[in-house]
Amino acid sequence: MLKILHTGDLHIGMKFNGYPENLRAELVEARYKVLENLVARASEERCQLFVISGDLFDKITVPRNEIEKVKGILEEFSGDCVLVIPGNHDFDNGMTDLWKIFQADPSDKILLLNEERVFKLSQTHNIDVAIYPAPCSKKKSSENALGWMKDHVKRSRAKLQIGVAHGSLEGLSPDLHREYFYMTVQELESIPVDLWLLGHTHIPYPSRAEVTGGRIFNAGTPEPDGMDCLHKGHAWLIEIDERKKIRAKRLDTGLFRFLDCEEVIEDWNSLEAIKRKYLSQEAGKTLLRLRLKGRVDREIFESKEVLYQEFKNIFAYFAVDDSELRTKISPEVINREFTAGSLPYKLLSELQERNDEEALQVAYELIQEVKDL
Amino acid sequence: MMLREICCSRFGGISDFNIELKEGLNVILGPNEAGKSTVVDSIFSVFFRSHKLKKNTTVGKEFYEKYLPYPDGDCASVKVVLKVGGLEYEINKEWGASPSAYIRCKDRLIKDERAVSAAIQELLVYGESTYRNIIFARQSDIKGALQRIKEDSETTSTVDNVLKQAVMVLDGISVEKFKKKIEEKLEIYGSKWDVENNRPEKARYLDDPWKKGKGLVLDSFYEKERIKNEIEKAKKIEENYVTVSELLKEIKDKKIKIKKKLNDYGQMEGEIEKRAHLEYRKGILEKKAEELREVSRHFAEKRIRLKNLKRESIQLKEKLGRLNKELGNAVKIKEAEEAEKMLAQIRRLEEDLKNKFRERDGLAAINDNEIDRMDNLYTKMTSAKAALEAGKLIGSINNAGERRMVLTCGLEKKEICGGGEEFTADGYLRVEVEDLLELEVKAGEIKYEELVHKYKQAKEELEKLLEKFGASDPGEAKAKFSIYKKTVSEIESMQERLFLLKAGRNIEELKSLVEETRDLSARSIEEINKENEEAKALTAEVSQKIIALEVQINEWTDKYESPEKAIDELADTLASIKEVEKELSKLVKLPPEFQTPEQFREILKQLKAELEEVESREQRLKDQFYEIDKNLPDISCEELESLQKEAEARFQKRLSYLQNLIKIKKIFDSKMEELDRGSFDPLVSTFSRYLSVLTLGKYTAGEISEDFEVGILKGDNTYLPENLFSAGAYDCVLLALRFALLDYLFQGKSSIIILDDCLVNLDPGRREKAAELLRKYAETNQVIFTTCDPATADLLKGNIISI
Repeated sequence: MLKILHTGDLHIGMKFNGYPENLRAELVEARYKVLENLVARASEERCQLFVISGDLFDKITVPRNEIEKVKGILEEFSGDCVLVIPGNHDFDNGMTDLWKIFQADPSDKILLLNEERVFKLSQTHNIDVAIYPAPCSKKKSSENALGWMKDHVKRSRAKLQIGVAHGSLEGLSPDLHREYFYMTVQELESIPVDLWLLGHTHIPYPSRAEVTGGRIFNAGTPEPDGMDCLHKGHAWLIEIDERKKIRAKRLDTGLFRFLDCEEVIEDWNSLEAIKRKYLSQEAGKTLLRLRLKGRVDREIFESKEVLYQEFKNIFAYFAVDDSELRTKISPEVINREFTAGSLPYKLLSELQERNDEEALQVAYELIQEVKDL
Repeated sequence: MMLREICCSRFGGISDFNIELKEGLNVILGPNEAGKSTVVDSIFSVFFRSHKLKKNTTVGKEFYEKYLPYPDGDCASVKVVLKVGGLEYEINKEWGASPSAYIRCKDRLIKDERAVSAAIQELLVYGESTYRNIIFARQSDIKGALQRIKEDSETTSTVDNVLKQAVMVLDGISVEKFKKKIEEKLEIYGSKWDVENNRPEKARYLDDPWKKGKGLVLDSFYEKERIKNEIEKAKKIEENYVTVSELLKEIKDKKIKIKKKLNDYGQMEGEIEKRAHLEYRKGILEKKAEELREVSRHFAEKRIRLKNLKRESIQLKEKLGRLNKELGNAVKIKEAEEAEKMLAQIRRLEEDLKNKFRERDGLAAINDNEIDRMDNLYTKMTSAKAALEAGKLIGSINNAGERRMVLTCGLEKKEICGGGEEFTADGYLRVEVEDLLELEVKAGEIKYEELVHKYKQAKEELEKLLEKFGASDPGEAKAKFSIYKKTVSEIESMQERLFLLKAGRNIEELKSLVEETRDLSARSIEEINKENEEAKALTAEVSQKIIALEVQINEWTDKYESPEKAIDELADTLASIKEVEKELSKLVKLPPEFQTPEQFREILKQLKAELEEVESREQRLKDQFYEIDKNLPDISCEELESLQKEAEARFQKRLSYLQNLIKIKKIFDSKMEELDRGSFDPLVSTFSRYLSVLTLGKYTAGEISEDFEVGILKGDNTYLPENLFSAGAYDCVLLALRFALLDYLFQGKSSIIILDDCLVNLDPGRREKAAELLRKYAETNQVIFTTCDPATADLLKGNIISI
């Protein structure tokens, strides 16, 4: 039986410049921490292989100390071998310092799959497994790196044959122009390996938490890296038995969680519901970006700041776009809140007649500001 | 509109309170803390506070704390009856544990919260704020409004403006502050932003950015552009990085290949050099062997061939001698044949000449003079005859009978028998009839005898000549003369030809030549010449061959002495070749891609040069690569793109905000302009009316505005009369203003006004005036006046309701 921990897209070296400085450092550090956790988990689970299917690093200019730190973490794996394939972010064209540094002090544990050739683990790590890597040699490519494999797979005598590739996967990745080493399921299936371990798309594949019998796995990132990555962060724990039957379990691995949500506030009840919904999150490690929409009474509108403050206090990061949350400024509201003939009454009524909702909102806010002076 | 009834079963501190109100002036009289204000608040609340008012809102919190005080205040309930347009509406609201609301009008009952609010709104015409700020306003609030105008205005204003602004600021919103706020915001957002062209002012983009005084729009514009540039730069660097690193990789691969080749070839270079030398030597030996094979094969043979050729040459010379002799004979024979022909020709010509002489001799010898003489005579004769013929006579013998008649007509004589014959006679006629008649007739115009004589003389002489010529007439004579002349000419011609034939020739010699060659024989000259030419050509050819052979043989002889010795040398050379081949077999073979060691050497040289070039190119690329590598962004394009998206959104948001501010400013300005276009004139006029009541007709707003600048505002020389704006009068002015505003808003329709004790600070005189004003206003509107002062209640003389 072979046990593998499959991860990828750790993007170590990301800067998170869009976030506050103290949080930025935490987010950067979290990616190392997750890697450590994954290595520890793989060791605990007695995995023989720890596979990183590309984009271990976010770019090819990661500083030496960070590369060495990653290497140090990987060395801690107690299984047989760590397989690392260059992805499109940390591509290897034979010139990058990144991989030169990574390989500077060769390790028996770590095997860099940066060549289009069969890596026979039986020769290096005493496991009867042949690895077929499709490494990235550039950031973008309309052609994937699977081309070379087919004939080699047929000729191999290894007990298990595993393909490791980095690139977008049909149906899973939003690669409209097919420029990120695009692979189709059919193409992958036509290469008779026993298992495909893919990377690039940050969402795990298959989408189920437990899989029996699947042959294609995409790691998904173990640590969410932005508002376009809303899951908890995952990796796969894969077991292949003697009969080559595959069972996989999706692990929850992320430390931070990104939430990019849209909510509509209509009244006090919906405001309360939103509060309840988000305050139940593990807010301390959650970065929340909230888009609020709706037309509400002034009282509700004014109470939003209280909500924001509350969210700011508890969430690791809170950003709100409430440009579409507006005070309900109907003729009735104007009539109720402003004295007939007064400047606000005249101004708002005119904007109301023009149906210029945005300007109406701005004017209303200005009036409130002046009123509070 | 008027309030008919107010019932508070429980509201704040009051309970089971029930009052009925009348049209006109109603005075609620009660001591302090009796609940007058609560009654007023209950009316306001029933109009404007939802029975479902949230406790957690500011308004809700305030309301519940004030009117449902804990622990007793579990509910509040108020009912008012409002009369509008002749109909009575019962409005009931209950707040607290079991909130409810309804409006009843006759049989119609409305209970839904929204519907109740809408119905109240419809009845009241204006909203909560209007009611709060004018109808329910405390005197102190109105003072506050005017105070705001005072604070706002930096310039002198007229009463008109005060009134206008009073309306504008009733919500507590200062026009000036609002204006300032917009301007401030426009500055904050739009500073250094060219709104019209939607770009930085003076098109100062990132290459020359504004550094100071940037608004938020420009700031976010620069930010997003900066990120955009950063992305472009990063992408370019990344692209360059990929390009250069790929080139570098390519060149490194190439270098490795060249080096490998150089290494492989370098190892065999020495032996290939030796091989080249030996192969060169082998080539020379093989060439020599080839030559020696040629020599040994042809040396002896060529000698024999030379001998044969020499023999053949001699034979050819002999043949040429014979042919020359034969040619001499042939020439002689040909000359003799010519001589013979000549001699025969001479002989023939001499014979013909003899005959011609004989022929000439047979002809009369006539010369040219004689022919001329003959022609002369003939002319003379013929002219005489012609003259005779000119005297022509014509006659006829009509009847001569049987007698023979001789007629001599001119020179002719003829016999006629019988008659009936016509005749002519030239100048002379003689008729002789046997012997019977002899008649002579002569033409008179000619000299017949002389002419006959001339004629006969010429004829005689002519006949003599003709006889000599042997001719019968001059024509024949001329023909004969022609023959004679031709014969003579032919003789001359033949003589000339004979002379020419003989000229320069010795006839005898010719004869002897003919004789000499009679026994000779030869072929034709052409035939002999042809054979001669062939023999000569062959002779030349043979001579050439002899020379060539002699040169070759001499050369070989010089070089090899003899054929035998050449064979010996060939054997030696072949042995040497074998030796070289043996040595070559021990050396490394030339790789198959090369034809010759020279080619190998050339390629090796090329590879070395190529390596040098590749190394230098590699160095250049490396420099370039490290420079790019140094500049690689430490943040990935993807991260930057996400930042750019946010920056773009921020910019758009701010820009949109700015655009809205501009729109608002425009509307604001237009509203302010409207003020100046007289829309407030009715207000001014009403105010004037009420002011006039208060000031005993001393002032109206118009007069004030014309005569005085308003002194309540800033300004050096501007003021209202002090007495009008002194502490006491001020309240009256405010009251007038409030009534004016209500008239202005309700435009003649009756309305309600609720007044707290606004007369309390007035001196008796002013109080009287104010009371008068109130009574006047109450003539057309409902006034609810609260006071704790019974004297005021008395003064007002309305419907007094004591609580």
